[in-house]
Amino acid sequence: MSAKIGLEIHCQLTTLNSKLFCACRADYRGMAPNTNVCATCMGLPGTLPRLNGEAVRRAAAIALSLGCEVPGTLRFFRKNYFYPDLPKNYQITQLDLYGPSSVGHGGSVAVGDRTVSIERVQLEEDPGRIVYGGEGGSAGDTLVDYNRAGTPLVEIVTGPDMRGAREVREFLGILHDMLENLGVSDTSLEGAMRADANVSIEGGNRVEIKNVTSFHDIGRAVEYEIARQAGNVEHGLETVQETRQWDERRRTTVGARSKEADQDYRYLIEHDIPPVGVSGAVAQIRASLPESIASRRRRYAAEDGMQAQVADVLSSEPHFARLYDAARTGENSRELANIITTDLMGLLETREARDCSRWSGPARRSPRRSTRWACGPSMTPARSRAPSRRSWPPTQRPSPTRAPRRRPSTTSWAWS
Amino acid sequence: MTANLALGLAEYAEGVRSGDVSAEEQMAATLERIARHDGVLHAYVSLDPGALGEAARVDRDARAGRDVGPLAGAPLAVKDNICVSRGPTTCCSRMLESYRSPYDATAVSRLRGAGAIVVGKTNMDEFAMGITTEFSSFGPSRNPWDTDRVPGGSSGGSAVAVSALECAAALGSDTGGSVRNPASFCSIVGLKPTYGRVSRHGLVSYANSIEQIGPMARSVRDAAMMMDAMAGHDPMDDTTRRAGPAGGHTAHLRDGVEGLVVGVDAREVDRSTCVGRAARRAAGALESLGASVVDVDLAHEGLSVAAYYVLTAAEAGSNLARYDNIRYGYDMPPDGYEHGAYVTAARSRLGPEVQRRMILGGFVPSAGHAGRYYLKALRARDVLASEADSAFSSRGLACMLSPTVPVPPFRVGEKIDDPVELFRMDSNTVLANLTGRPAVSVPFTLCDGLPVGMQLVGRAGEDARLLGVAAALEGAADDMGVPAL
Amino acid sequence: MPAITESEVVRVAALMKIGAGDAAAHVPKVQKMVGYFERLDEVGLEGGAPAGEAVDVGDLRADEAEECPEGLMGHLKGEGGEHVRSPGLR
Repeated sequence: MSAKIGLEIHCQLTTLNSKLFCACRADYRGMAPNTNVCATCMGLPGTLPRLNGEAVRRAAAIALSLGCEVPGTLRFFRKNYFYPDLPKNYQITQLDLYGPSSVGHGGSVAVGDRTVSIERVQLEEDPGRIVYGGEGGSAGDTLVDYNRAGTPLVEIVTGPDMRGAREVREFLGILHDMLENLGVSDTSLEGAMRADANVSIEGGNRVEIKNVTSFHDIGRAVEYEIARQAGNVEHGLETVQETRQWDERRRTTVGARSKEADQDYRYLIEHDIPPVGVSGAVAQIRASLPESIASRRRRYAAEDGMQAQVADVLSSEPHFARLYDAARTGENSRELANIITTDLMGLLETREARDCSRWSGPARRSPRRSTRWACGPSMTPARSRAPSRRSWPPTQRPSPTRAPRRRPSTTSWAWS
Repeated sequence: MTANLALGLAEYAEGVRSGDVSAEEQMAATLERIARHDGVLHAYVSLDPGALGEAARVDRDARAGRDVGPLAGAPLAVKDNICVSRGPTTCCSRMLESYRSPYDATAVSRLRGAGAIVVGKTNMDEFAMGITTEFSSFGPSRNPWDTDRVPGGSSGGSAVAVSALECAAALGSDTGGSVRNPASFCSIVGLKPTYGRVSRHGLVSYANSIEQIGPMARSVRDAAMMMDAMAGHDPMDDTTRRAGPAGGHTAHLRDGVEGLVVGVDAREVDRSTCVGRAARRAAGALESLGASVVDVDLAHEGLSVAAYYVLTAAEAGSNLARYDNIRYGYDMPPDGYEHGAYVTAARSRLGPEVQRRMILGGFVPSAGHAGRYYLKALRARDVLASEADSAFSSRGLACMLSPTVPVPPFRVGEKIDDPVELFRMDSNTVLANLTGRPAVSVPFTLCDGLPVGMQLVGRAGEDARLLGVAAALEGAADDMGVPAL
Repeated sequence: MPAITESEVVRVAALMKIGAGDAAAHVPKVQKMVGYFERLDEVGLEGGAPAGEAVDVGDLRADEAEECPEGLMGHLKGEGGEHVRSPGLR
């Protein structure tokens, strides 16, 4: 029985300096609660969003890299719902209400032999963070930290084109490498990349899975959900269209006591942000995109005669690829590849291990929103422990309270 | 020196500069007048205790030969939905009765920068929803021309303060006529600028796609001077226009109307009411000054009030959602509440008019109804805008004339209970908001001793030229004197 | 039949966090107002996105961080460096 799986991935633009609508820092991590806030991101009366132009450009870069069209005019909308982590009780996001006006649509990504369509890419604000959810009706409070509120977030919505957990993992790996190659996001940071999965098997209803605790678990959750739905079909039961939570401990999905059905987001045009003209900028953004991983891989194989496996790894590692490209001459490419490959051998071995650990860690219960792939301080990604990373580049900011970065914020982004 | 509270802003500043006028004495006299009359009028809901000290500082600066600005020392009243960094900003709602804003609205900081001194915050309908100021949580304001009558609204307190010489000029906000309606009822000048001309940063949003902060003053020139000080691009408001000169609002005040074409809405100016006759007379006055007057019929105008109420309700529903009492607001501990129950309990402090609009605002854009109401209203706005555009361009109109409000001020407590009948009061004013055009109310005459203003709606972006026509009409208006208090 | 039923008014009021007791009092006026809005039916929905002057991405705010204002929390519930307390979630 064939399954259809679609993903909604949320990715923070962690390498920006400021939030999406104000000048507070986009990098809120490791700060005391509610110290990275201003009148605007706290939703104080009379404040207006001031859209970060660079966030628009980087979201467009992601859209273009996913093969999307970027419309000439972008629009923003309000998604209205009351929630403690949402200072205005609406989220500014994008919607294709009057034809395409989100930052991207109609793209695709090759995953092995399959093409995964990218239905939509949209730019929106991250809510704050609920750090403790007590029981309703009792004395338990919910504590809220708004440092994250307004962090630029890109949502990527795929078509229901993946057929199994393996393809899901493969797609996420490709997306992850692409985002890092663009230098728009350090996906190893806690909560920087999160996803929900929509799963259905032929003819059945669609089930949305949230609260998956790690990269590895999203595969497990998808596997479990396919099996569950197949079981329903065998027993002649209808699969209910619903949102289910991934239960990490029991490794099952459970029906969420969701009020989602009652939810009515009352989408409105966000008139505080005029339509944004990007037609002039898109050509420029496209021209300044870094070389894609696929193109680099082809180049290494074709021009430098690199072994396929080595070319594959080196091309997806923007730092090492850049190092290689900068140092490479006609004569030294073989020797250089050897030197780097000495290091790369370790990487090849730890690649699987990284996939398990880099996004694992405690996830917050968040029934309404995306799974947060978290990587706490105790879950240092395998590769950041590699001594070779420490020296690159020398400007990395020391920050004892933060997880060591898997790699320094990558790029000198030079589109402005 | 004796304080002359009726001074225009230009004379005021000139007097302060030359030493003929003492800003401190003027401010003291203003505060004295407020103390004497505001118990009845209730224009103000809070006063800035620093105002007198600031006025003294302006005098010192003037004596020292420092630049004291074009509005030097002018006592400025600010509607209570416009943020100031000192004192309360409550929107006259119990929901925000203890709220203090950490910053000045751009319009306020620019007027302060031009030398104006904030006297206090003025009364208004709660969150600007109303046209009488009776929906203020702090009690109604009274019309200085007849204290049994309402001053109009929602910027009623500002209009009263200007009219009763309790300030030199004031700021209001206009979502569907909230500057112009009270300006008309209190016989002062009120301008709703072109959308995007004055920064909304610091204006507490009600219907953010159509509202503007506007000047309320005793003359067209004063209003123009305030515009010069506060209009123009603001990096804190992405909807402010970069194009066009920020200043120049006084440039056309002496241009006259010779050769201009003024459109009149025949349905409005030919009513056999005192207000209708006054409007026809206003058209005649402009004609005698050299303008040509043509009748204009906007076929879809009947849509405007429906579109206006749908859009304002939808936007208000969203804009007021942030008042959940969690991050700021009044003291109500969260203990024992579930989130939704807490927010609902906290919001029971919203007044009935606001609650009603929240319900409408939840309904019109909701799933299954948006296509019939919210999206239709957005379309209607574009239809109305293009209809107005073609009327203006095909007839070569400089502006359109109508009464600002179809009736003179009504009695306090004479609540119009039928909401649809109440819609009629907005019928002349909402079109300018829906189409983004500038519109000004100019005092014109009295009907049975009650003020009646005329509205002029101009071309988008041509606020200065509109003020030129307004100045001509002002010159042709009856001499109404001042309200006897 | 009215354009909006009484139960619809109460449902929408709950969505907007307006209490049911308060909502009930508004039913007649809300019905009358929504009835008035029916005249919008005379316009079609064709015509695309609402008109509006676009701003070029190059004119938007530059990506520069500023120090967050100190003392902001004085205007808020709770102290700087602390969490904001919210009622519990169900």
